[in-house]
Amino acid sequence: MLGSVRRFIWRVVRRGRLDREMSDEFAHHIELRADDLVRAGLAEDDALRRARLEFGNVTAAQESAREAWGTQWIDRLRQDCRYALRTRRRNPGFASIAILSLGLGIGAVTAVFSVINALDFRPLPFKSADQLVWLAEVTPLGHDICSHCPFPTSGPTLHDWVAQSTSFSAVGAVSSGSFGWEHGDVTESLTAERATPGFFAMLGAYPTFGRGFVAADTVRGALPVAVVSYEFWEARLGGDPRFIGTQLTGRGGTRYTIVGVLPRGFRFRDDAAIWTPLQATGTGSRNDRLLTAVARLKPGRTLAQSNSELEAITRLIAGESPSDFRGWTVQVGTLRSLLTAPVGKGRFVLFAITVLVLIIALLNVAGLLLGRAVGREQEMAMRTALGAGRSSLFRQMLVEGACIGVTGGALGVWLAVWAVRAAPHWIALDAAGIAVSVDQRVLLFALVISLAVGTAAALLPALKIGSLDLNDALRRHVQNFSQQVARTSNVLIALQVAVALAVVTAAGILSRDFLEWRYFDLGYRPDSLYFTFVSGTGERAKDPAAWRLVAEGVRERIAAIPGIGSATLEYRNASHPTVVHPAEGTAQLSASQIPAVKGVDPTYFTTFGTPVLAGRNFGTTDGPGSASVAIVNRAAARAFWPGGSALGKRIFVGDSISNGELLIVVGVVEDAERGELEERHWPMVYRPMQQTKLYHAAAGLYVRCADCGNGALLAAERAVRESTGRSATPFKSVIDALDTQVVGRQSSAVILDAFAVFGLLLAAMGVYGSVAYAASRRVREIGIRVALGAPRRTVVQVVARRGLIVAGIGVGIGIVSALLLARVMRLLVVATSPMNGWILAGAALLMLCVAGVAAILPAIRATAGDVLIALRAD
Amino acid sequence: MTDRKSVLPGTLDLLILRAVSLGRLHGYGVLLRVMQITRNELQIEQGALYPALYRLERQGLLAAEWGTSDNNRRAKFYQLTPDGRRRLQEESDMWRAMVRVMSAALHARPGEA
Repeated sequence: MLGSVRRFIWRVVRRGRLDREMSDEFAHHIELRADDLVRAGLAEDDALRRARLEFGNVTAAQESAREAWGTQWIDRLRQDCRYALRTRRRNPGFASIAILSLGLGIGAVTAVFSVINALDFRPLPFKSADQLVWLAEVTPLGHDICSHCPFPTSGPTLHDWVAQSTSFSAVGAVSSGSFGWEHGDVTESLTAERATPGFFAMLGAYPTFGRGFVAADTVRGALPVAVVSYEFWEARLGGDPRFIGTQLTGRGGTRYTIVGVLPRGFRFRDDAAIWTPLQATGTGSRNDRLLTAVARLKPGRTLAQSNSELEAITRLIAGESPSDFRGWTVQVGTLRSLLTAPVGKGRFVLFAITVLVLIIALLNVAGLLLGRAVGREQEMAMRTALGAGRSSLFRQMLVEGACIGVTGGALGVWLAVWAVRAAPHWIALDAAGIAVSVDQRVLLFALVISLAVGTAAALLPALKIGSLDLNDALRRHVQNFSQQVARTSNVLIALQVAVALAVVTAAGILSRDFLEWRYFDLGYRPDSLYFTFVSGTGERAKDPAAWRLVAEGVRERIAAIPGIGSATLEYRNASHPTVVHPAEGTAQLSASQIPAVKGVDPTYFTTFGTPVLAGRNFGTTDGPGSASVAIVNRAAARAFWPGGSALGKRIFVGDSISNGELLIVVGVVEDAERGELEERHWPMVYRPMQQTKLYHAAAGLYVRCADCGNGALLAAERAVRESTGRSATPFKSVIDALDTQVVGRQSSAVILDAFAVFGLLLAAMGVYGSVAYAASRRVREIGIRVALGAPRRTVVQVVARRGLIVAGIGVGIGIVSALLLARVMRLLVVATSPMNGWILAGAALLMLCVAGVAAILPAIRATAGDVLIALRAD
Repeated sequence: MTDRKSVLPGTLDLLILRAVSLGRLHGYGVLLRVMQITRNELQIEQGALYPALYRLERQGLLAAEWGTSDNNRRAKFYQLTPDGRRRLQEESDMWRAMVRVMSAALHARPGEA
């Protein structure tokens, strides 16, 4: 097989030489024959002529000889391509519309495929990545965050897994967080990860400079060390290797010695700028599930084997502390599943939508080719008359389609490269920490798609041309043919309308889902809300009372600035009490049901716009001397007192079971806190700042603007600087912060809408083209009708009706399929938003209008002008 | 010349194989040899000879190499490969069998079978 392929390639490559040799051979033959004839007595001239005559048609012999080599189709293909290019040059308008349609469609599909390629096909950028697995606990049914979902594990459990398992050659863990980098007089929050010693080595990532973490870094009393990402080191630390050994100051003044710089491009699930060592100790609660455990399978071990081993170990642990494992199970998954989990399945939805858009483009081009085929029937007939076989015409059409496809594909690849480079975070991919690029597989995909789409678009016209009766065509009796074409083109129009409506519906549902999440159910009003951080300096920061006075002073100064509606301080997790539970009753709480405690002032809920649902807000009377009170949110109330009222109930809050205080619940507020991209709100307990002994030298400062246009925020920043002696980081809009959180979703929605609009436009273009063309083919008929005395209005109506009927059928099919699609989507995809009937109706109306206008314009032109001209038209 | 029969379809290949089996030949030599072994009774379109030669070469039944002809010119010589020899044997047997069957059929009289 390989041998014959090699011989074939050899023949193709040497075609020129073979040709020469063949000519030589023929000449030799004729020469020898002539010699013989001379010997037989003929004159030399006669002999040569006779020899040539006997040899027969040299060209025909060459042709069939080449056929014998089996390389002739290459010449044919080249010829067809050259012909296709020539036709294209003759008709640049047609070609550019077709290429543009396909290019945009192919570009969209390719861009989304490059994402799927990176996330689902390409090997992960780690050493022997197929051996890397994710050791996860799995949440119980009905867990607050997610039911039956892979979840991080706890230190003690990880410790036991490492000690007792035999499946893994290495086990490591990471835990994400943030790092408050204090430099100059600002505190900058950096994305950070903590990693166990050996984690980098397990992934095959060895620091470019310095070292990774070692066990000694995690022992009690060890010097705090950190490793930075190459990108952070280059962009923020000047890219100087001498930076190794110097120190960064973290929140609270801890100084971290930089011991290493990670390799360029190394990322694990997020863009962490700084890494600190993590010790997975065997102590602590098994309910504190914070560690994401990653392991490397020993060679020869399978996922299933390690899974059952881990299950057995965990069963034993759970037997010892059943309360921590109620309903929990374990699972060993691929590292890929860990990394792609946060991205969701949106990429597949986008892919499906882009494929639909590409189908619209394909139908568009098919319609264009079909219309043009009618115009070219004479050319085709002529070529047949000149000896082109029917199959060669068919082939010619397909090659033309493929040429358009490949040119469109080249444009598409260019667009895809641009899209991937310009906006890597557009499709919510940074979460996976996997770089997206257009690689060989993507290029191959684009090539295959281009050829397939181009050929498919040409198939219908090619079949139609095949059925053309050439004698009729030559005699310009083309009515029959153009009627046939009109029928086919009607089918195309209806299909296009239907697919476009389906795309619009799907995109409408999904993008509402993506978008509405943003401001949906926040529990506060994010508009005209701005925030910054304030922190104390030096000695003053260490005296809680003094610091609190300063902070309160800042808040009051800012609240008094004209244009500022109100201002509040938020001491988030100022100190996280380990024990929070209702004073009465024995409600069993899971880890995620234990509320966070926050110290706030009386202006907090009014500034945020969080409604108080029951009871009262804090007042100025809730001071150090009065009764200890608390406000809980709905999530906490539901967890603590399911079905009952929270008002008047008491909560225990403390460092331990024995050391804490009792608070009386005086109010219930709307849920207003949740993590990034989390569906559920956290349970919260709010306390008046005045009543807590919580100490923290930094607070969030939130400002609600009444009218911040005239420098009110700048004045507020000045107030912060003057009061605290440190410049505040500039105020940021909460909406912007939310947008960065959900940038993926938001841009997904934007992309989705863009695709839908694009598909709709493409379909409108196609429908207009096809309908207008069909109507213009009837100009002569219109002329006859008018000549026979039909009122012009009636004629226009008749023509328009036909265009509208076709589009109407398409709209009907489209609406039915859109409804079906919406139902399927509700079953399969996360979509919860109802279908937006207005969007569908609008799209349907647009299609009808386009079809109507396209049908009426040629009719009006025909009836308005000279009837004789119309009669003489084709 | 008009009384000569044209080659039966499919037999040209066999004739060429047979001609070449007697020794290395160039294209014109093949033609002469075929004419010789058919006692000049077959009409061969000379141009058609070459596509057949190339086809047989491609099928691996003939091997070709460039050499010098009697008139001191560069010429392409064909000779039989082992595969070609085997094929020649098979085809000849088949042809003989066919001739036997056909002539028996054509000479048969009713009642004889």
